[in-house]
Amino acid sequence: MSARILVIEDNQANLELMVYLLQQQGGHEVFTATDGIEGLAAAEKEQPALILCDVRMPNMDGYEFVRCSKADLALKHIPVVAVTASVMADEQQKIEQAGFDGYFTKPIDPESFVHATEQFLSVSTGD
Amino acid sequence: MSDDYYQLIAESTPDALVALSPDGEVLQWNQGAEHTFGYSKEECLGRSVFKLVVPADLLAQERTILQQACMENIPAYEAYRVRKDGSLIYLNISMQAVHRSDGQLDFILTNNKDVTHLKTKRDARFLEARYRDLLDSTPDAIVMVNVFGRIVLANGQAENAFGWQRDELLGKPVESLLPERYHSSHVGHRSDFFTNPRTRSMGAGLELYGVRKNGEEFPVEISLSPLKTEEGVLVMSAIRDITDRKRVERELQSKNMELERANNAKDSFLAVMSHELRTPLNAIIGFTGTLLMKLPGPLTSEQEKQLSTVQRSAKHLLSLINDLLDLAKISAGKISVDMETLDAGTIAMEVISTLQPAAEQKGLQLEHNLAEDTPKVLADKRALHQIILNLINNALKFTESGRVDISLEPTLDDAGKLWVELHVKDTGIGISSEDQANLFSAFTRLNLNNNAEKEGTGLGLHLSQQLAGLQGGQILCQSQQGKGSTFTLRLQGAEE
Repeated sequence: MSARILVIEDNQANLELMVYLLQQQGGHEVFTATDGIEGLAAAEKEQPALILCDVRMPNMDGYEFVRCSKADLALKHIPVVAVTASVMADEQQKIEQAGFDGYFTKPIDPESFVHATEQFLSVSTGD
Repeated sequence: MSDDYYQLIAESTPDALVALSPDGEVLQWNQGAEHTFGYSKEECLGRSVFKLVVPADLLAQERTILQQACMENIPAYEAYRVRKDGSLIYLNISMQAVHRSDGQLDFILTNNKDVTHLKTKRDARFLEARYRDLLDSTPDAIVMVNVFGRIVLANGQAENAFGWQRDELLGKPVESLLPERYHSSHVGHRSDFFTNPRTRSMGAGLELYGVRKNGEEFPVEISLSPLKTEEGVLVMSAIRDITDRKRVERELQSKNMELERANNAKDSFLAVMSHELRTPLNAIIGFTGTLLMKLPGPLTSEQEKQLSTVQRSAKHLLSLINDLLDLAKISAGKISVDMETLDAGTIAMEVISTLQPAAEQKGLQLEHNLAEDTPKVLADKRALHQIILNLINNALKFTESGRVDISLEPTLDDAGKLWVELHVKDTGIGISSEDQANLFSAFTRLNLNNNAEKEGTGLGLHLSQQLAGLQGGQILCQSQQGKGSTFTLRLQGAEE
């Protein structure tokens, strides 16, 4: 089933990769933003069913983004999944505590990425 | 003669004149006594003279002398007394019974002459003769002090350390070698030591300082020991100038802080580098994947072959980055193992099932003989998984035909400690004994024939050995060139 998904990522190549997979393989409707501030505006305007969000970004990083979105009554119901290139244990712990609904580590596995992403969609339709 | 006349005589002598009752009560106390003992007349009249006696175990003896003096003339004697400020003095004491006109005993007049300085000189002469040569041969500065706190002997090293000539030092209060702020408290400590003399280091845990003739202070370490002689107890203090050691300590401290800063910088550098290297790899592996998944469209077989090479190389690069990061974390002490009781067989089975397809593809038999009743091991789950994966992967990689067998075996060492050994046995090319020596070093790729297409970071075994060591275990290798290898992971057995 097609869903509306917002992808927030500052690296153009990685943004293209996720958008391509979600559209081409998953048939989803995808919106994009390149930092947390743009991401918040896009989320309010488009009301996506799921947000994928890079962690290290200029202007507003992923931690700040998830803090704002979870504090916003209009957005708090939308699952936010971190996509991070960080594998240091302390950073992963920080991600788990920051309010994200889950996380993927880069490099993502192109064969399983869309399926794994859709798992978060089925969770959100439940509530 | 009038009382006034007696008064005049009594007050004009520098000696302490003290009139006592037969049981030692002070009846008269002249100015000489005030000066000698530091107590005023008002403080002493009506009080017992025996509170001036040290050490306390001589009290009975002093009472007997006073009793004796009531009845007969007794010879003058020498004894220690304690002053109001706690310092000790050495007195020459004579006693004279004074009777009333009716023949009854009126009081005992005691004349106390302070001969402390004479005693000090005597001590110095005595010690000089006996100990000087001995003390000049020790590395530390030695200063001997008598009960009055006067220096009675100093060795050559003490002259050098404090900048005084030996003659200048002798007879000086030992406090003149200390910074002025410690003078008053030191007099008390000094008397305490004579009351309870035992060998000890002075002011343990405190920063102590000496002061040189020119006023310069320097850090010292001092040990004190009592020395019993026929001239009384003396204190020998061995003084070590620790200026150099303190300087080295300070330098070490600042070096340590520098190292810690550098280490922190290295850690955050690692975190950033790992992040920065993975970010472009994400797009490389990702888009190679989409092409190979044929999402954009069909591929020719040559395109598919070339893209597979790109994908393999990119994944190789990723594992290199991962291994380097792990090694860096181990060397920085950032990897902590979480030891728990585990079934090594279960973990080996997980690894075997993920590698089974690769084995089949290469036409190799990957078999296991994992008895279910093998004792459990004490290990970190993630690290154990990583090691087993690495060992079986290697076996598959370096075996062209034949089989790879995995087995578990409990053993006891000489001390009776339980170990569990996991063997990974292959029928591969084997490793020469020269190569075995370097097997576990970083970046060792063996000189194998046809190894050009074998991928590996050269870090795998090195990393596995490090991880095994973190868990109290070890990896061993047995191999003969051309006849295959057996790698054994030795793990601590979990005692029931």
